[in-house]
Amino acid sequence: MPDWLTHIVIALIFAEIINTEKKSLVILGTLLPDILSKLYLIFFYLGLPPYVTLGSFHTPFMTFLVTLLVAPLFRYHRAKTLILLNVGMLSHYLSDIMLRHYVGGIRMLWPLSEQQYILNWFWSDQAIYLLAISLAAYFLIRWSKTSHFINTKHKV
Amino acid sequence: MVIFLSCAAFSKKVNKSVYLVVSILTIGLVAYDNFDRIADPRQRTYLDLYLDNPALYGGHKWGSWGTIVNQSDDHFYLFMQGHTIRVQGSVQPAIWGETNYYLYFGEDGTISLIDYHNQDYFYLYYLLSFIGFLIFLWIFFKEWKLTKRGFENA
Repeated sequence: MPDWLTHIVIALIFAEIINTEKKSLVILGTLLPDILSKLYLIFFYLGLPPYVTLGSFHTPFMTFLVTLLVAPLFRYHRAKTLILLNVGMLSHYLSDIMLRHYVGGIRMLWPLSEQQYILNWFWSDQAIYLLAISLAAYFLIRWSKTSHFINTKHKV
Repeated sequence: MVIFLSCAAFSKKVNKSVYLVVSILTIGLVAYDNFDRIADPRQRTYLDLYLDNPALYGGHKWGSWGTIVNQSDDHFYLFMQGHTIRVQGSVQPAIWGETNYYLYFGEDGTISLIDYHNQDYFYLYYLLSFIGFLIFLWIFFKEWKLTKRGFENA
């Protein structure tokens, strides 16, 4: 996985593109797949066999279910909350699928299929380049908006 | 007015029912994923299967993260997915990071190194993630405030 800062910057780009006033929902959506699924790291660092897996939370369908559970916590337009959380989720899987592994990937179609998908473009330690490109893109979009190159009247 | 109130009550009941169904489905799927892994041998990791029966499951390439326990000139001991295994080959340990190993599992029980990737300074990414999390909290509580009814506009 890229680090959370990279995920957040990519989510912010999506938030700027759809022009939402609730950017935190998009960011929350992008962090959700990692927050629960990465609890297995406790087993890893304690040197315990990975008997219990929460890896299913790192699949689009499970994240979608979690967004359904999280959305009512917000006193905001329910459909908009769901859309923003899921835009964040989409940005998470789009950036994760670009990573490189020798074996494995993301179970994009789970629970229908165990098939794992990965593009094998770069190792996760090379995500710093993605962060740099994403930051440049984010500030370019922000600059375009403040310079009124992009219409920002309609907010989601 | 009565119709409006009864509609609102009905809508609340439907919302609660949907929430309950989604909760049960979520917990059920986590349980299914775990049960599936334990009950179905095909869902066990390749390493588990190989160590049980190298003659049957050998002859394949496979890879994962691991930590070097001990290293000699021509072999090293690797802690990988709850097992410590002996691997033929030599590696340069990662600098302040983790290593991804790609291995060949022989039918005779020997495991040899095909390739590895050192994620040097990868632990710095945890620091970046922590900074990212702080930025998230800052943006989140700029937009929302926590009340008894949930998160409301700040």
